[in-house]
Amino acid sequence: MARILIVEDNEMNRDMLSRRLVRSGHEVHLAVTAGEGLAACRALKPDLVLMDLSLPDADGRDATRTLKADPATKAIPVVALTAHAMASDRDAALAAGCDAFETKPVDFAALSRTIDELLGGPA
Amino acid sequence: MTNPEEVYKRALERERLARKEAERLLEQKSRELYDFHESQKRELERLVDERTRELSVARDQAIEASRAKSQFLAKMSHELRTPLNAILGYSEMLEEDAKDAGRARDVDDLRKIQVAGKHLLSLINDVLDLSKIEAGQMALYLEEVDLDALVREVVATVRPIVEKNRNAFDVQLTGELGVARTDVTKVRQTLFNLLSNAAKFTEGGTVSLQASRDRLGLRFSVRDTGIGMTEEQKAQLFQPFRQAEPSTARRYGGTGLGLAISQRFAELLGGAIEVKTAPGAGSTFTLHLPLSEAASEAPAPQRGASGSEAPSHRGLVLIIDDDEAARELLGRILADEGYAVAFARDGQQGIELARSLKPRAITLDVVMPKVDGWSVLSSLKAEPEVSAIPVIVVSVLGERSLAMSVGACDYVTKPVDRADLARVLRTHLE
Repeated sequence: MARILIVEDNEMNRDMLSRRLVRSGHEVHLAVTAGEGLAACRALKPDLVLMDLSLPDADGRDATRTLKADPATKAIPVVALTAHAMASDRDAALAAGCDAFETKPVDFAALSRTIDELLGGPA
Repeated sequence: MTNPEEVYKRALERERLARKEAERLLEQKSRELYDFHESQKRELERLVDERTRELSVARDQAIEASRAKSQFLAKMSHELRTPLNAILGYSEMLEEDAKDAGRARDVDDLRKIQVAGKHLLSLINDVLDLSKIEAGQMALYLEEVDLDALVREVVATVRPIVEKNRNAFDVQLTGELGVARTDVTKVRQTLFNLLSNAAKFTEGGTVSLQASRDRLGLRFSVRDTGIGMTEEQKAQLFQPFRQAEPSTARRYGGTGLGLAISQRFAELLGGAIEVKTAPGAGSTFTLHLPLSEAASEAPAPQRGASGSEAPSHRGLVLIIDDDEAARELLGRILADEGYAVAFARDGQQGIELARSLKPRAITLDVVMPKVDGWSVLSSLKAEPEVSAIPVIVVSVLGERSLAMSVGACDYVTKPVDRADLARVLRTHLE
């Protein structure tokens, strides 16, 4: 059970992911843009952020850089989610400070494992 | 009137005039010839300039088109993945609901949606891979790879697929494979492909994997006791979207791209995939991967078991030649001489492999389409990382002095004389 913030502009993907995470027993909060995501991070102090990399107002990598540069939010693990599946996309995401990288379509079992690992063992 | 002196004088005068006229004519003609020649030369130069300009425009357009194509494909891949994410995600959720409610038929149907969605995803991935390879944009990511762990991982992933068709899975590892510098994703995908193919086309038989490492590199043999192939089927094997028969996809699934991609991956790594098959007699696919000794570390040879230690090879030689028969012949000579070999089938690939494999020496063909041997040579010599690698030009053209002047260390004429090549290699490598 963890508090997870999903930053994702695609409505179906946001809905689907949040419902699946709620089913797995997590408390889920939603943000649609990078701006909303950053504000929610500061206000809610989530345990983990799922960050879509192509957001309407900003690149998810830049949002991650902002989070990681702020002492108040830098410890929050960020999992990058993207439909860009090239190895170079992964490298760029990790270079921006993301703690993990999952491609869409999301393998939910793999995502759950990644979340558990980042939160220090199965919740 | 009949003064003979007068007559003689006049004759002389006539002759003088005639000679003068002849000289004038000669001069005029040679001037015309010269002017004609000059104008032809100018015309030719103008044509050459024009063609060069046209070619350069065409080249820029081709580069631009290829860039646009790969951008389009990257964007397509992204656009297709996003809705697939919803399709797969929601059907998985519904399947959980259906399972909880005990609706077995719904569970079944929802699984079908997922299988189809995953098939679509693998198609998208394969098409993207193949077009990147064909655009020359498939990059190699070389790192130190624990090969034994890699094989264990592939075997574990593929075991359920092998056993699904009631096949026995026989894994034989000859000694330890150790560590090598290679692209783990591409080796994994290739092995997975060969093994899952073997599993798909075999029912109630045996799929076996043999892996070994010797002085020439790595060797993975995947053997099955399945349906096998005719010569015609074998010939089409590595063509994209070709399966033995149109019904094959329906019956066995798959995109028909796996083998084409595997073979391109093997080539990118300087290796090859070899096939032995006959109808009803099963098939054996062998993946050879060369290893550069500088970049890899074989496990310490174990004494006793085999009685003798395999001598380490004399170094890796990269063969750059567009002609398959020539590559094979050179490869055989070099292997007999105790060198490990890697192959490149065009100039561009040759330069990339020289960078990634850092071979001890390179043999370079001159006449090749697209990037010719001279361009390869000057690119190699301009890069500090690879400029010290000795390059032996192998060509039918007698251009020894040209070769030496642009940086080749030696020159061998085609057809290649075995002793000649061996001597040249010894001279430069020992």
